Amino acid sequence: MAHNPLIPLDNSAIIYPPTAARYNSHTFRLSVELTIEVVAERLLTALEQTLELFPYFTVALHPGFFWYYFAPNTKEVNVYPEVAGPCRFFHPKKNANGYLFKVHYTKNRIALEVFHALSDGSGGLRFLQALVKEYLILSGVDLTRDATTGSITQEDAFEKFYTPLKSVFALDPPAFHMKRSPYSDEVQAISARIPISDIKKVASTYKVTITEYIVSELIYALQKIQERERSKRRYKPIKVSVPVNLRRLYPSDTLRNFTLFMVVGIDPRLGHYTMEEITTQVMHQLRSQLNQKYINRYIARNRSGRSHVLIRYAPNWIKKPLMKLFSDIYGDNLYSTTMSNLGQLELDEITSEYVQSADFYLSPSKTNKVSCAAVSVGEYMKLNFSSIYKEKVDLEREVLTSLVDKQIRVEISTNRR
Amino acid sequence: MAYCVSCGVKLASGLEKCPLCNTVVYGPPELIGNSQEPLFPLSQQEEIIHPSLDKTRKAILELVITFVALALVTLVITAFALPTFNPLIAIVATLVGGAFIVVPLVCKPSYVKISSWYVVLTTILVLSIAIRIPEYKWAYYTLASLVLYWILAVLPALKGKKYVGVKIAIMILSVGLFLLVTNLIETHTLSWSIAVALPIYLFTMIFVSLLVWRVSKGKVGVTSIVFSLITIASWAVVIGDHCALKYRGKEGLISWSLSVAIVGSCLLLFLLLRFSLLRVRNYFHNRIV
Repeated sequence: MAHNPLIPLDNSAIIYPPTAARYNSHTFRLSVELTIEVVAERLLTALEQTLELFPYFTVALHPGFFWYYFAPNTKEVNVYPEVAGPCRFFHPKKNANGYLFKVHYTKNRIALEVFHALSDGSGGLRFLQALVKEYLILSGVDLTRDATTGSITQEDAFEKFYTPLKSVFALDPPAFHMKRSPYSDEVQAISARIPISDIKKVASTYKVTITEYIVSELIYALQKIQERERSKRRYKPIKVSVPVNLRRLYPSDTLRNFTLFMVVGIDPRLGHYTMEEITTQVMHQLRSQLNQKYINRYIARNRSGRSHVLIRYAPNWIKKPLMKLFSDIYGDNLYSTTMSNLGQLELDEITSEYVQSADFYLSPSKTNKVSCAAVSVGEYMKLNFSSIYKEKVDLEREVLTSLVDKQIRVEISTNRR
Repeated sequence: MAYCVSCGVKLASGLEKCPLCNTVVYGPPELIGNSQEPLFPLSQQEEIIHPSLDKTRKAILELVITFVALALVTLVITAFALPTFNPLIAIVATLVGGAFIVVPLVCKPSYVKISSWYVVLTTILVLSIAIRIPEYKWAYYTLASLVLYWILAVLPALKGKKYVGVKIAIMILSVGLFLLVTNLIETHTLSWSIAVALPIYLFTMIFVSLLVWRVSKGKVGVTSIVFSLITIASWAVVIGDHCALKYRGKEGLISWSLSVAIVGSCLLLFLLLRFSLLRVRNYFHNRIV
């Protein structure tokens, strides 16, 4: 395996190691269901060969005096049988021999769990696609290997596209968060399988994209929950955080984190919003924010925080607890939930014959409790909810029954017992 | 595969109830189907590592550890720089202070556990003062009080119904022991504790136990309980006055507690009359009926 030099964490990743704790694992999970059986030894070989193409993934996390950093990890890599719940906490030393990703398998499924400091959903997806391709090649399928150059795919794109700007550190009011209820250490998942044609049809009646439509449904559901849980004078804004893949706006092919979170929503203090009003709001807010000038401002804001003298030269043991205490002010407090849609999984013709479906899970947090993620393969989309609630399923129920009411066929499965 | 009649969603094979609304699926087994590939397997096949603290608690713990470490380093450096400065109490106080903040973060929210930890930490602090400055007598009183507090306020909350009698016995004995210990600390003998404290203690324990026994046996009104307690307290004061007089070698039965004795007597008379009248009334009521 190629050895990487010491790598500083990218701008987006520096927040994840200090703030990882109980109910805040900061991991995501991608999986594919194959039409052929998954054999552990073959999968391990495929993983080792994939890591030759993606040397950036062969790192371990270390706490430095000022910042966390990645260093080469020469320990043995392994594959693991599937576990009882997605998005588990990554212990920097005890889990997976120090690696920041884990490959799980079942009879037909290959799953990749990644600690968010290492990569984002798009980066993880690229890795998983390469792993699946490698596995299929080892299983005798006639496919050609991709050659990926390690150095291009591990640039810090935030650093590359950072423009010093006088950014305004405006602080938005905190968003609505669902009530406390007993929590579970194991993430509770509900997976909904939806035909793309059904949801596309409904989204087009509102003249929005599928992502905008799902975000609107989440906001509408949260509005209903807030109306049930709180009195009118205690209403708060309802916002959803939508990670946007900046690789579509900037010329970068990096495997590292290169996403920004667009926060869109409504303010129910102004009155009850209908579904039509919500979709209009979401569409305008998302599309108006998706331009380079607007995003440059956020990159500048995040990056300039890191350059501040006090933050830059404070030791890590001071930064760690302060980041834990104050990260929510600019983070989880500002939105009610997260919705990430990876879109249609791009597979070549031969690979797509062997891939039945895919799944994408985002880890929830103690503030937001439930997160939502989606990915599509072929004619179906999988909309997955991850929750730390032991029993409460209000948000999932509101969203999925709303979809059913609009004649969208929904099939659900769960790990809830 | 089945549908939920309440939500309208299709349920994956093997689901016997809807996860959204808990509606049970009724129908033949073929309808429910067998779970071919569960979403996630039921059995754990690897060691689960779940962190025990959430973000906020972890942050406070790290900050406390940081500041305690800084304080300790400062104290040690100061001790080297100033030979006359003994940092023992300051070091213990810093560690105990940090532990006071950390205990509710890391312990389960249990009254017994947290109270016990706080008693232990305060004991350590007071003990360090007592060791460092032996002439501070109040430290010994505080140590005895801490033990008494734990026995009276925390021991009853310990689980174990069959040990109720043992707990009560320990609580009663501890009060007596506390009186003996405070006498020892003050005078290095058991002079006033045997002459004055013990009679008051014995009198109070016997009559309160009798009252508790009476209450457990039958219906005793709140008024009667309150009056009985006041009566016992009054007579305990009178006995204390008499014993104190004897201890000081003075003449007379009682000195300042005459008014208390009168109150106690009146209350006792009232209670006896009330009790007797009730029995007489019940006797004639039963005869008539």
